[in-house]
Amino acid sequence: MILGVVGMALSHGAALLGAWALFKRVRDVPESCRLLVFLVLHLTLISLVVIAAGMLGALSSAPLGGVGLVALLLLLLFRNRLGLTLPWRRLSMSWWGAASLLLVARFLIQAWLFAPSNGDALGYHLPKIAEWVRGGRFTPQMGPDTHSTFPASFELVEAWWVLFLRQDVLIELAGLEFLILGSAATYAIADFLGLSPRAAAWSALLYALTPGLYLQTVSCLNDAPVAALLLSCVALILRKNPPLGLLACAIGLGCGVKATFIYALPGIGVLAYLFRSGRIARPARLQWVLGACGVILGSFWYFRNLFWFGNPIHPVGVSGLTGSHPIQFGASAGSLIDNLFNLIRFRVYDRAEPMGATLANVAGWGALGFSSGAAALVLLLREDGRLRRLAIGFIVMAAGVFSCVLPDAWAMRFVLFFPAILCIAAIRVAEQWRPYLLPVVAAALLQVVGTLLPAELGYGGLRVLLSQSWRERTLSGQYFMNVGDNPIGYFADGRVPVYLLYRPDFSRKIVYFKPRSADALLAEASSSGVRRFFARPISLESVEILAEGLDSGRLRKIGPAFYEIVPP
Amino acid sequence: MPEGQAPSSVLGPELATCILALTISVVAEPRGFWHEWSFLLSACWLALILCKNSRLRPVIALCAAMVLLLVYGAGYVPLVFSLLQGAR
Repeated sequence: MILGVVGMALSHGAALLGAWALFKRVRDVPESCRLLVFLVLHLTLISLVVIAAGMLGALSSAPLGGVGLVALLLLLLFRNRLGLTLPWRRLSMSWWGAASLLLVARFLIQAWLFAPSNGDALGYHLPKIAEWVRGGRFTPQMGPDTHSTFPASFELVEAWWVLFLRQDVLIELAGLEFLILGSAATYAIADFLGLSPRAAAWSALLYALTPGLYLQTVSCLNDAPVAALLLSCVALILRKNPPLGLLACAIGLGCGVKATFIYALPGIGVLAYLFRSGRIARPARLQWVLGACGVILGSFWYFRNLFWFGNPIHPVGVSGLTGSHPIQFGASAGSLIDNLFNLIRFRVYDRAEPMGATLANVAGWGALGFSSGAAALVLLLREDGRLRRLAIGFIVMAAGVFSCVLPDAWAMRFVLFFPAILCIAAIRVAEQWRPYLLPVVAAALLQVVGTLLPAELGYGGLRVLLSQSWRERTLSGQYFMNVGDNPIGYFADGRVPVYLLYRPDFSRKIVYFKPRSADALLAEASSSGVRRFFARPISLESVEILAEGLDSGRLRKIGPAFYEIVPP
Repeated sequence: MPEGQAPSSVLGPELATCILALTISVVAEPRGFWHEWSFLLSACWLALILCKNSRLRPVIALCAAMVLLLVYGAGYVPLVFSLLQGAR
């Protein structure tokens, strides 16, 4: 563990300093975009490092710590040449600063106390990280779920937070960086719209408190990072002479996180047109390099799928994906209309059920978006031409997403960028007319309470986690009986929180069975040294295989969904 | 607040769109006979169109925001507290 901590400190230090060195070489960064640009560069750097390490089989503490040490020494050696004066500034405390510090402190406490609890994260986002960490490289085995092969750039950042310690206690911190990125982008957009620095900062803080966004980031889900990256693109595109290389990095990161990012790109294009500023200057050399990085990040997972599965968007085909978690392919006017009406009729009220990170049947825009944000936007749209154009872009972005996703219970989590404009509008009105702060503050306080706990975790789950030490913090006991075997087998269809079987320190090997008969299942178990396995078959074929094993006496049920191989 | 900058030529279409939105929010199913959110926002919009006094406009938005906050809180607050109390 101590070597892991050292490796982590060296690598994280090198990544931060490396991003700072790059930042110093990017020219003409407006004051309001500094944090945004730094975070985009940092995320680009660590994503590329994890991709390289994953491909070279160096995805563990020792090699990455070694590289981090060398990089850190070089950066410090050439710090004068690189102009690496650190941005120390005297911190002047303000209400905003205090509130931000409290929010970050609360996030850190939540990250420390929470363990992954969301079904999607446990079912298909995190198992691949467990396999990478166990294998020390990218592995063909990414988990049993149909969605396991989806783009995974957010998982790269999550892996960055777990691979050094081989422990997932800090995994939620990947979300924190994206939460700050989304806020930094909101700040830059608000600044562009003419808000004072203080007002822009408050709108950024309020956006971070958007319940859907916040609960996503603390629950290892990737829709909030997509929203943050979309807002980053918006903030960059609004600038006179947008930095194209940086924009490519943000777009590349977004495309690599989730395809829903791509659905919103037409809206970014509309914004680029509406806010065009004449001739675009020839990009500097660094921007070309950053552009190339963006292309790599944006295409990596799609090329991997093309090489491994023959289809860049595997397992989705031109007719979409069927099954228990279907996916639409292409745009559909019906989806657009249904999603829009679902939002207005039901979801925006956030009252269908307690809010979880998946945002089932709710929008997650929070009280501020619903009340003071929406009313302020209606007011300002009639008076502010720039906000009107920005709103058109946001509406096109949302329409692009809504038209390309099925109108299911979870569709609203794909438009979490939208509350940013509502937060900006609310603060804009409050800045000009102080009494408007009353509903804004009331809504913000409600959101502070509403972001304490995701529904998936719940009070019961939190009590379970609090009773455990940080090394063993997991919700495994809520889903699986305690079986000490290592390795353990897995034979199930559908979505199962399989990540929990790996244990928080990734110490358990999972053997995924894909048998065509009971004999084949036993043979796979025998060859891999598995004595017990988890089984929850759904398809008729799988049910029959399990039944055959049980009927013949070669398998024995030992508990809920757990089976044992009977020795011959 | 700054004076409204919407050109007078768009006032007619804007008014028509607003009344259409208001009508849809009243007649649309299935939440009883109207949708509070879209109805209140449309009503706020209509009031803003009709209001010629720029000082009154933020007051209209404030009233709408307060009512909307109550509507939101009525459904959301019980859910949050049931979650925090472990009722789920």
